[in-house]
Amino acid sequence: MEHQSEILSPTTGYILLGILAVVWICLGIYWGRKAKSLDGFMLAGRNVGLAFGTATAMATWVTSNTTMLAPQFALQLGIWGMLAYSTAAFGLFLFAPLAKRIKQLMPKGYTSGDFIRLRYGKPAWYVFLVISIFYGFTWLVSMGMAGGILLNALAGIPYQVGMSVILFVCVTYTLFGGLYAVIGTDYIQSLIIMVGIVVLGAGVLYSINMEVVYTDLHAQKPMLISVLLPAAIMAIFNNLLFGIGEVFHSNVWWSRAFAMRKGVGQKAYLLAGLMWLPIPVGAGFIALTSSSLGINITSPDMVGPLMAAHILGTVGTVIVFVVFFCSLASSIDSLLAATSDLIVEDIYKKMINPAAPEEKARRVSAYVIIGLGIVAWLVCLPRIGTLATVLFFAGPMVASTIYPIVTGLFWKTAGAAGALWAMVAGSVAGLFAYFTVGWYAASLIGATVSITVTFVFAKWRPGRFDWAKLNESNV
Amino acid sequence: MKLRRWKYLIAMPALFICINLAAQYAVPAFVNPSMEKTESGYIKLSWRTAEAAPSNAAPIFELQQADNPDFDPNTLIYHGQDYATFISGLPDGNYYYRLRRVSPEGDRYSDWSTPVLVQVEHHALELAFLLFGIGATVFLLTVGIVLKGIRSSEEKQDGTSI
Repeated sequence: MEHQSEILSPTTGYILLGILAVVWICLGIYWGRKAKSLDGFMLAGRNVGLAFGTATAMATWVTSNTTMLAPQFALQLGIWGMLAYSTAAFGLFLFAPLAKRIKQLMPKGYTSGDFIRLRYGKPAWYVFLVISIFYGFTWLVSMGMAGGILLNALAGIPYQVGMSVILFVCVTYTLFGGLYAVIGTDYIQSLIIMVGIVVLGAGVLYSINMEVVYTDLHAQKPMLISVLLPAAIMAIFNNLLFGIGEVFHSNVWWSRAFAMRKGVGQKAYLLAGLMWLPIPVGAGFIALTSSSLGINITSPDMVGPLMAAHILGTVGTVIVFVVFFCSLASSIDSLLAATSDLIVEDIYKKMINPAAPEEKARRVSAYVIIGLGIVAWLVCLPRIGTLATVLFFAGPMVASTIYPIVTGLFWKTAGAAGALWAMVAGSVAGLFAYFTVGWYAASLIGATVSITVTFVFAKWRPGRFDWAKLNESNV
Repeated sequence: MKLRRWKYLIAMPALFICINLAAQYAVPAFVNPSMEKTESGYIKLSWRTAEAAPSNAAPIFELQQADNPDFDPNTLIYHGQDYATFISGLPDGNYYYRLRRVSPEGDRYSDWSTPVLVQVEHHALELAFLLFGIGATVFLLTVGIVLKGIRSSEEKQDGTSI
């Protein structure tokens, strides 16, 4: 146990945790009261407008990965690391036109798995499901871990207690309200995150002396301000491609594209990307001040919250507590909803019980959400590795899905064999790089192999896909 | 009477020495192996102490860094109650770390731990720039596919491309 000096008293921490838990469960139940049908539960009635659409995309992308991993990047890889993290905004920017295309081609679609199945057939679909569910689960575990680590570092709440409470709260309100509850709570959470980040940013800028920060970094951690830090140079496009892979393949983003009204998706994802972009830069910068302020960091993923809390005192710590809780909750709920949709729609309804009536599918969906929560809780219990090591293990796999998705949406010539081998070869090569070079090169190698295989197959064995097959209501 | 006073005079310093020896802190030890290599310039050092803290007080540790095994000169990089520290931004070179436990008043301390050697040798810049170039190319191709795809799908109602 590596003790990290906490800032709030455990009593204050438990009170805040209790208030937030009650507020989110009540709001989730309130927002989710419309989720009567399966379409309502899974896709919020396919009627989400621009404000809610932008807020949910932005809040979901402001995960513990933004608020905790971006500072970790800055602490490990310096200025380049901080900028590398912010490139994940390109995932949202490039998905914006894809959202429009998805809605156009699949007006009645449910999941990203639906697309792969209809576009490439079963073998590629199975591989995609393994990658997508594995990634969704790793993300969920990294979020649960982040909750436990955060509450422990800020208020001395035992890791297991904090992690359990945050998972329980999100499972509860997602269970009651499905995507309605998720998008509704995301809206409030995005407002809290934005106001909180502005307050924290202004407070930090007011409290620190930039000249001293630079001098101390130069003396104690010179490579963090060097433009020639090799690992950081590799990380720039690695993180960018990982971010694109995450957004392009994950049902978290596809379900929102299906849920948004016609004409909303493209604008919502563009706006969300723009609003998200400055957050990792601000959060990352805070980490660079740790040596100047003499704050010991025992776990690199805790540098952001700890620095903000130390700089801004007790009031700042309370803001950090609330903002980080919201950023975690807004992602955990989205993951629970989107991963359960993928399991119910692609595995239960397509493989196990195609004739299942709507009420039964809705019930199964609830069981899956509870099951996901329990399994994630069990995996989170022993605290394994840092957030980066947990999440980036899935990096090469998701990066290898970029080209099957993007060429599948725009190229008639993209075929099933190309998609299958792009995912398999990209994942294998990326994982090899993960173990031989480092996590900061794995997604890049995975994406490079995947795009090469996709191009070769599109030229060597071109397909002639009929786009009408994607609209399942026509089939 | 005289003999008993002599015994007392001998026994008291002996008792004092015994108490002091008993209060001497156990030497903390690094959890890390005695030599570590890093190609990224960052490393986490963790440590433990076998001794239970007297009066439930949290133990306090001092961590020194030096560029030679004699620790001359050295820099104190941590003083506090945590059991780990994360070090980053190190340029190429050898870095030695050692640790000891100190009393809250700073008047008592353990012996120094066995040092840990951290060898920093960053990846070659050629490899970094090669991967950077490949990444940039893959990214530009991705943007190209998306932009060309959108244009084609907007031009043709059926969305055909390539």
